[in-house]
Amino acid sequence: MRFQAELSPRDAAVLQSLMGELEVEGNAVLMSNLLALASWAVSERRRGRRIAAFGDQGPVRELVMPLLERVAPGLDLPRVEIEWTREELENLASLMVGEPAEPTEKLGRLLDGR
Amino acid sequence: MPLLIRRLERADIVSSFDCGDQELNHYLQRFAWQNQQRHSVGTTYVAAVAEAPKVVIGFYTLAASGIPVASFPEDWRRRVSPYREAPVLLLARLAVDRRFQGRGVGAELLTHALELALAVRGTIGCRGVVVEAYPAAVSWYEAAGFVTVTTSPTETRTRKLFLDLRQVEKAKGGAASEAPGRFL
Repeated sequence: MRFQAELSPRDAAVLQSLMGELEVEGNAVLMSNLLALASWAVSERRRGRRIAAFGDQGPVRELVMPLLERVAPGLDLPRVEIEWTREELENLASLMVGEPAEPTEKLGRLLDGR
Repeated sequence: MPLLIRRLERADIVSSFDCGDQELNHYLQRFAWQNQQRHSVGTTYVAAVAEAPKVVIGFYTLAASGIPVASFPEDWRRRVSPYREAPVLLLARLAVDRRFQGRGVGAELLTHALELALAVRGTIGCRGVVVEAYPAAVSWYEAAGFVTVTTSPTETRTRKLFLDLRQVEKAKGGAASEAPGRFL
């Protein structure tokens, strides 16, 4: 099977960096290894296990990945009712109908990784 | 300070948790576990450090909710959603132990909650995140993009704020389904 993909400049740079760091010469070898890693992560998450990085003293970082969460059984959040006033609903409606605001600097920092 | 953020577990140590607010302390110590396991009215995620992975130093509680479209003022209904309900997530509580305040733990918890919200949006759909915040915390949420929707004094001590997940997607640089994961 032949596989082609259009990568953003950022992802292309990450790909090149990975190939250099891992001393992988062919795209197929790298793809094969990435597939093995992804398959393992999906199977673990499907079983409800979480993916984490471990340091000397235990887990230090947990991976949260929207794609993986699609197969996770634990995402069925309980449901609650929220009481709203008319004023709150009017304000909320105007926010939902309008174009979303540009992300604040803080939001960008929170989600852009550290 | 590397943090582990995960779902609350029965063996977690919460007795020493003190965020400076008795109501929030009491919730974590008395109700968070039973709400999550027995009553299914909220899932609590906790933060811990590697040196003491069972000692809770921060937490937030998340629940799914929906706003019946019929409850919106009539002028807005059709434009809000063509369906019967607008799905949202409720970030009901978020607190950090006093000994760890000012070290970014709250920001890490909020990031975790927003990552989960994006995952929900990518799977079953969600318009945004609602938070019920104490007045003193409103500016902290507003800096992250939340907009206050409770603009008049109310009987409750909290005010509601809303963050549109389209804005969160923009911050991530794309749609939820295309957003890469990362280590929290």
